[in-house]
Amino acid sequence: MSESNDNGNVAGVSTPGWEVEIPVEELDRSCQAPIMLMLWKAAGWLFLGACFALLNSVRFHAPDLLAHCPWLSYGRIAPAASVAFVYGFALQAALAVALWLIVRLGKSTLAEPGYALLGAGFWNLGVFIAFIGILAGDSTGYALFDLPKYAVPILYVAYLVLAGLGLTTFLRRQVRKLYVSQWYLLAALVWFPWILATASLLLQHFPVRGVTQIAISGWYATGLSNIVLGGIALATIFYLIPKLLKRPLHSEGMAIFAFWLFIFFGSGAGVLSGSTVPAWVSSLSAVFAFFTCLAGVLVGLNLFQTIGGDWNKLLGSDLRFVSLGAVAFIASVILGALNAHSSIAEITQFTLVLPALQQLALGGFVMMTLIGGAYYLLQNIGGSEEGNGLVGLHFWVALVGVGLTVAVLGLGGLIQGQTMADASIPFNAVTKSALNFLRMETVGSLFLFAGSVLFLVNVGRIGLKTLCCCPCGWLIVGGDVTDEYESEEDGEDGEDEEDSDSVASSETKKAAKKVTRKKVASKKKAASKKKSAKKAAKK
Amino acid sequence: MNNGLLLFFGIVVAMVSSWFGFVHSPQLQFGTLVPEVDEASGATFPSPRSGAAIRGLDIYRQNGCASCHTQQVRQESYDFTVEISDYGDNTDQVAELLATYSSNYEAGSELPALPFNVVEGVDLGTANRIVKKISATEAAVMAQIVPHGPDIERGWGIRRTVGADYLLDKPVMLGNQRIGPDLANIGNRNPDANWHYVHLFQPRKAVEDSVMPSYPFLFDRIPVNGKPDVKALRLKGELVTDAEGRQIIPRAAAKDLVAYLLSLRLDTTLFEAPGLVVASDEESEATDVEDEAASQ
Repeated sequence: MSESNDNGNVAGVSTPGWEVEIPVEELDRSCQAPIMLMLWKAAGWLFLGACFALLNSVRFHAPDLLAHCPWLSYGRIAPAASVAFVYGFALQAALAVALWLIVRLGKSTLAEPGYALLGAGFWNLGVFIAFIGILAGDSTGYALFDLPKYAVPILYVAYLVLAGLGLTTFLRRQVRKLYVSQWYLLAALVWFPWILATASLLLQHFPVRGVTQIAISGWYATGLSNIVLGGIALATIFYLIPKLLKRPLHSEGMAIFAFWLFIFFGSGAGVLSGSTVPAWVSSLSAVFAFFTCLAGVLVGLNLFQTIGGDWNKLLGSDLRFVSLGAVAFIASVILGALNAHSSIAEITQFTLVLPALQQLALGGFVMMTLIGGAYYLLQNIGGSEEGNGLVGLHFWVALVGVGLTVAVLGLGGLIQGQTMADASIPFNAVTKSALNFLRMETVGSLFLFAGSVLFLVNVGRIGLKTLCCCPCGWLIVGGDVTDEYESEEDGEDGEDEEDSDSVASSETKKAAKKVTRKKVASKKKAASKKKSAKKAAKK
Repeated sequence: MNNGLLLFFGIVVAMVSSWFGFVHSPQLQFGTLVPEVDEASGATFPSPRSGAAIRGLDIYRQNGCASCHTQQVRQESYDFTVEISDYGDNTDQVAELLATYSSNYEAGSELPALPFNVVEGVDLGTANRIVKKISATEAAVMAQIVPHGPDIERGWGIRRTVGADYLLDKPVMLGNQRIGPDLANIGNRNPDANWHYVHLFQPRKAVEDSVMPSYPFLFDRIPVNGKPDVKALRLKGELVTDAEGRQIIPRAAAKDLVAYLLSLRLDTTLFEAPGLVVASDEESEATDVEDEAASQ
């Protein structure tokens, strides 16, 4: 227990040449600009995706809505909304959170923040091109791999830049001991280029024949949602829950076991595409789903023991998004394993249960966790005020949105599956049974849309505040010109920063901190002098 | 776990093994499949699509039809039917056996018209026994596998879909949602191109309470001057018009899409998809192999 507790702070201090730790403020500042840019863009994509999802949901009430515009037809909006959500929001926010976690956990400043900005810019360019391409009719026809051929290289390069900077920062870490979150981050960072290259080469450049395409696109989709997005979300959960509860992680051994289970089996847990792929693929996938479920249960037990009865803290403003994400994760792996069982799959296959499970995994687990991580890191690097009412509102709106869509689609899917299994019921009646639920789901989509607006507003407000407070911080990143920002932070989060650094504290760390604190204090004095001089000049 | 290199190595092993499992192995099994040529008729399966149908597949992809329509038919179970195609010379013996086994044949009456189903819905053992007995009389008899399942009973195909059905599709769009019906056999279920045009232009004109979006951008709308165009859409003989009374003429994209839809047929049996024949007991071993394949 104590091993996981100190999280390598001892090692960090004793590494030769690093007698003095880099203060948390400096760590945060080094990655401030790219991370804020990425989160701001991610919020924008989330909003756009939610708009489009809402539009498609309304179509179940009015099927002829905007029918004359081919660019806005149902079958183009659906993949476009998915790309905006998965690549624009989820993966971008995941990368932002991942970079921050790498910086914080390794206690080294972000390598080349300028290139990170460039990478983020390229990423958004790639997503934008993919988005427009799909609307123009260039979708691939594979679920979750809806990237037109020409958008993939841009996204690939952008990802390599961002992940490469993350890995460089990781290698430069001052704390040599690795924490659970870092395992998941490393896996996620290296996994995506591998599956994207495979999928793009074998589906777009040298297309394989027949149903092998389905196996590959299914493998890609599972790897993306489980290992890449899920891995970064789990890293966030493992970082924030022990840290904010100020309790050490219960068992590192359990975490190690769960990690390897998840990494080895998570990438094949959902490749279930019906009777047409060979039976062994589905069977293998069901076995993988079982082991992924086991990993999820172990993660859940570990967190349960870590929380140790501090349940009320989980609903606190910092943790509620992340704790909800953790609950959704465990629910989604358990339901995923159940759904992989052939007797259940027989009913649920081709029904709304599938989007319900996807919503639980990507909306409940990944989105909620990343939003929680984003709010927490913005609070640290962007200096938002405590107890922000809109963040609280966002939580409840998002909770209702995700809960409603998952419940309605899941229930509707089960009923749809039951009626579909009875050949004496005409297919029109099957569609009708599903239609009522699809119409109810519009309310959920409306809540999700409202949630995305609130996220945009919240991130925007914090961004604007930071932008106004320290324009230099945006231009010259990681330099010491950003002192001004620090003085702004002084009153608000100064206290918070003291213990925010890592999962737990140790004696040596405290000693090291005293040194750094003095330095920071002297810096702050200098900064406030500068600031008052500037104010005088303005007048 | 403090050794970053070891961790990285472990992750790479996981990546590579998952790649071998879900990318390489399916490719080994299916990548070498080629269209099958029937030696007797010279026909290939799957039969090549026309140029219009190939372009139509692209329209299908562009507009994301697979968001709501699957193209895969499932099978839940199967049983056997014993069919006689020729009574041979020993008709008396055959009649005796038919009286024993078949509930459709009354002893003493005329032999029924060919082909005649002796029994339906029996298991493999029973079917083999009956085939053995009857074939001993030198009558031409065989057991036929009959697949069952709601998909098949809805007429979405005479058998389940298998890998060979998609050899010519680029990309393969199986779909995973059935908000609309399965389309694997639509060309056979509804071969009326005109119905498809009307349905694409305004689904609710063809199916009263359809929720399918309409695709008016696949059609030209031209005011009627005197006699309507021969290519204009008609439903049950009546001219289909839009709200302003203009006639509707399919554009090239609509024609391609309908050509593609009509090319989707699931009405041929394959070796790996049940429907194959067991002629006599020499081949009953082959049946066992099939049996296993089918039960998967």
